[in-house]
Amino acid sequence: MAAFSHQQHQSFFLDQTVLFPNPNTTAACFPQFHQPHNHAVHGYHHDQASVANKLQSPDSSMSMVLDDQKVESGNELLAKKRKDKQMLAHHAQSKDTSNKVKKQKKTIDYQEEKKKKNTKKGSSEEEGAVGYIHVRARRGQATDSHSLAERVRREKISERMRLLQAIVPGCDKVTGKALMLDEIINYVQSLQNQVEFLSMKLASVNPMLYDFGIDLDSFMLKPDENMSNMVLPIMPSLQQCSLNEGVATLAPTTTNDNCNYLPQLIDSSAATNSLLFQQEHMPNILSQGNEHELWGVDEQRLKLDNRFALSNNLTSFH
Amino acid sequence: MKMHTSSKLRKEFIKKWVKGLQICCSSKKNMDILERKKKIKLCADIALASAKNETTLWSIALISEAKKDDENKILVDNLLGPESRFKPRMTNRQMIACHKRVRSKKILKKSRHVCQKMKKMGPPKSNLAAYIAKKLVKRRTQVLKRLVPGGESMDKFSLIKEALDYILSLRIQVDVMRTLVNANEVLNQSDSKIYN
Repeated sequence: MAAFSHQQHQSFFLDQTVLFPNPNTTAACFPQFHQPHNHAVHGYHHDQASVANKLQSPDSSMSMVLDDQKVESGNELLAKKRKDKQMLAHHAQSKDTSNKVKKQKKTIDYQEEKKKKNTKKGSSEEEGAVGYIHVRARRGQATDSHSLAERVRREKISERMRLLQAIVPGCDKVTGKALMLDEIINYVQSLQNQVEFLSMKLASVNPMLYDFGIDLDSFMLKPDENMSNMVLPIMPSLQQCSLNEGVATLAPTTTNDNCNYLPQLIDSSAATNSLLFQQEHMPNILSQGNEHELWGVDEQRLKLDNRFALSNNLTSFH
Repeated sequence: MKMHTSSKLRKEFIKKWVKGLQICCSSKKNMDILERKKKIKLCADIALASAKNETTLWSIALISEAKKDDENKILVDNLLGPESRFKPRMTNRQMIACHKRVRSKKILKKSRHVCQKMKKMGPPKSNLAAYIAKKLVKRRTQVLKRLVPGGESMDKFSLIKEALDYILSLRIQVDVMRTLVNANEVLNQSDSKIYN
């Protein structure tokens, strides 16, 4: 448990503990403090804080040292900085403030990050990162270019994550990159599966004619019956009127000739004859607002164009 | 504003899909159900991608993937028209180069990781939470890369951006197909009523 290494500077703290014995530190710890490489208890920084409060001594150097130590408790977690901190501890006496301040900031950043990551595991990466950025923004960094680039990068990612949150349903309650990515992946997979399934369904529906070209043809062939039977009871709107007009003009040219021509087509495609026709009505049936109506109207015009072209092709065969 | 663009996209998609299906049917008749389904899906995908008009990476990737297959090539070319004949080829080459770059980067990263791991034995304990979190995120981004077309050659941000766009377009595709199926069902029902 006591895996956190302690630095040389703790010897200073030791002096203070002698003056104000900390109830939390056990007797066993004391001999440890005498050694240059010390091992601290987990909640050491808490102890530090409490002791630091007690030790609000008038000596400025002492207070500086306290800050140093409080900060550097965060560095317990970073074995790399051991030697640096030892150096720093020496500098403390010489009141070399600039370096110390910088390293303090660094360590505060690390400490904050570690704290956050220890408290909430999976959900905090994004928040931790964001918090991290805030801290850094406030205090600046020694190696600026790298950290700035990293910060920008992270902000970009988090912004896009937020956008995705708005789009993917059920993602607003989730925080943290990993879980959100999970949701996104699930959503994309489900959408792709839906496409597969729907295309299979469409393929199964039209046994003989799976493409809309022939559907449109057969629709042209059988305008009257379908329209009168199916369309009128279903479609009350303007679209019907305009469509009627369009089809009516075609009716005299196509019905008589082609009714005999493709009886098979008509029979089998009876189910799908007005398929596209229905498609235009769908906006009304589903009634999902302006967008769909617009779509319906334009779609209808498009289908009309197609039909005109195709019916011309058909009639040309005769 | 988003609604406006989505309805535009929708119309484009429908137009191109219908066109593609017509081309499909005219080229070959009497296919079995699986072939039909494949064609339908293919037409839908290509229509969706081309409706984007080369603005997004995933659409370019999708089209170039489809073009690789010879039998689809004619369909795709006809569908797309002469607009985008040259671009996909260039991006294909670029994509291959990208793949190579990505692969070499991965190899380098792996070797670096291995070296680092061998050196550091103690510290990862303290960074354990962060380490685990990072690993999870990494794994998931890998999965996402596989899902989004052309995802492998994208870096983290553009991946997320592309995924966003891809999701929106997929939604439109699903919506259109679903209304078609529903319309069909309604028709079938009304048909059976009439004939009975």
